[in-house]
Amino acid sequence: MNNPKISEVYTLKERLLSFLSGVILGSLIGFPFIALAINLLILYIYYYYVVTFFLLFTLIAWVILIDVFYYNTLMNYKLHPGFNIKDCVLKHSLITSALILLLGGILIIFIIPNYI
Amino acid sequence: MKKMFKKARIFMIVLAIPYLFVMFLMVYRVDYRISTPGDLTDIGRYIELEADTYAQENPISSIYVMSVPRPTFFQLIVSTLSPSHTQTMISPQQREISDSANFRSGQVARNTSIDASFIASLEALDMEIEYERQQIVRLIYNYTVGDIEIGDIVLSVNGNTNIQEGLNEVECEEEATLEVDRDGEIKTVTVLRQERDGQCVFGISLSTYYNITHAEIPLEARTSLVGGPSGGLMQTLYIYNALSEFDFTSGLKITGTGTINIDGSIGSVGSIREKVFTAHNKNADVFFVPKSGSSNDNYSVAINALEEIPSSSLEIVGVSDFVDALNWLMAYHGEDVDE
Repeated sequence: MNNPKISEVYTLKERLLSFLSGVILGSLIGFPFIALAINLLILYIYYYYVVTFFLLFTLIAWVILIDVFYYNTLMNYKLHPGFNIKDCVLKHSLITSALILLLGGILIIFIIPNYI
Repeated sequence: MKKMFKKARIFMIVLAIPYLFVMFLMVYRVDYRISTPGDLTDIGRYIELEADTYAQENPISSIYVMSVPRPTFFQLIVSTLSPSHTQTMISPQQREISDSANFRSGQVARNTSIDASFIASLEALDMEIEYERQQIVRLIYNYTVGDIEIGDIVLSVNGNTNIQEGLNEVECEEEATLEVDRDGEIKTVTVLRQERDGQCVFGISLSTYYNITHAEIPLEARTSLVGGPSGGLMQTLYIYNALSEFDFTSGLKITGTGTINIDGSIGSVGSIREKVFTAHNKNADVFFVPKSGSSNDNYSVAINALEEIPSSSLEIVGVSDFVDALNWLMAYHGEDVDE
């Protein structure tokens, strides 16, 4: 039996509201850390390899937080036996984190050094 | 449930106060400038000479520091904990210059200093070079009215090719029509001479630009985010060393700072303290610094900064012109000094 898609289990309104809740809660927690990373990056740009990786990991943590709160809010609406919400969080977080790391890594290693 | 929500609400309100305070510290910008140590730049990375040059044992490097304009409260507090960071208040005049104007101004100064270094070194080597002096717009202020841009080479003012005279002839609250060269394209732009604090000003700063029309050896300069004229001395040494008959760097890791004039004389620069820390951090052997003889010149500041790093093996050499630096290196190399 195929697992149902998220769109088959939850309505568009439920998903939008959950996403909004995820963004708000995730950002409330994530923003001070992102602000800290940006502040340090500007001040210690000389160590930009270290600080930019800190910024990347902060961005990843922010995305994971949004994911966790998004799916957590969805779970409050209903639970479906064939829909594994934890797998969804993990999969989505891993894909987004890999994407941020890849793009950030290219930026840090190949692009920025040419301009300094 | 209601009780729980009430408890959570009180908790959230209490938490919101430090939360907002922390965010304020990290977002609100103050009228200061922080200078922090930077790095050495191998000059060969941005200056390319189209000539047969040998690989230098240790490349001659220019030195740069980082500048954080209008930092946040948090950055200001953190920077005060570091001895190698310097905080200076931004003056009312500096507040009238935008960050982007500052950046572009630094790029113009850097490009002009590369040309001046090229002229100074080729003339010292008795090589052919022809150039003409022009006036370039180095800076515009927030209050400047007109479509003039930083980097415009001014060819005439109201038809007068004597730029300074042409500007002086413009009455207050009148517009001047300037013919400029903008990236190779000739344009006509205007700028208003306005009354400000009891003075008639255009709100532009001009500086000398050297238009090199012919050189025995072509030079190509690459763009960089680092701006400013302080690499002049080291660029001149690099070009001279690359085109001379032997490598006089003697395996030393050489860096330094100072503006250069086409006659080889050196001008003073800022952020000397941070540059000494940078040279020490990057294990440089020699640091050339402008010396004018006064008690608070760049050399004195550098010596004082070095005293804060007792473990440093950095040697600070005060020089007043390019030949001084060259003589020091040749003497170290064991060659007869030839002025």
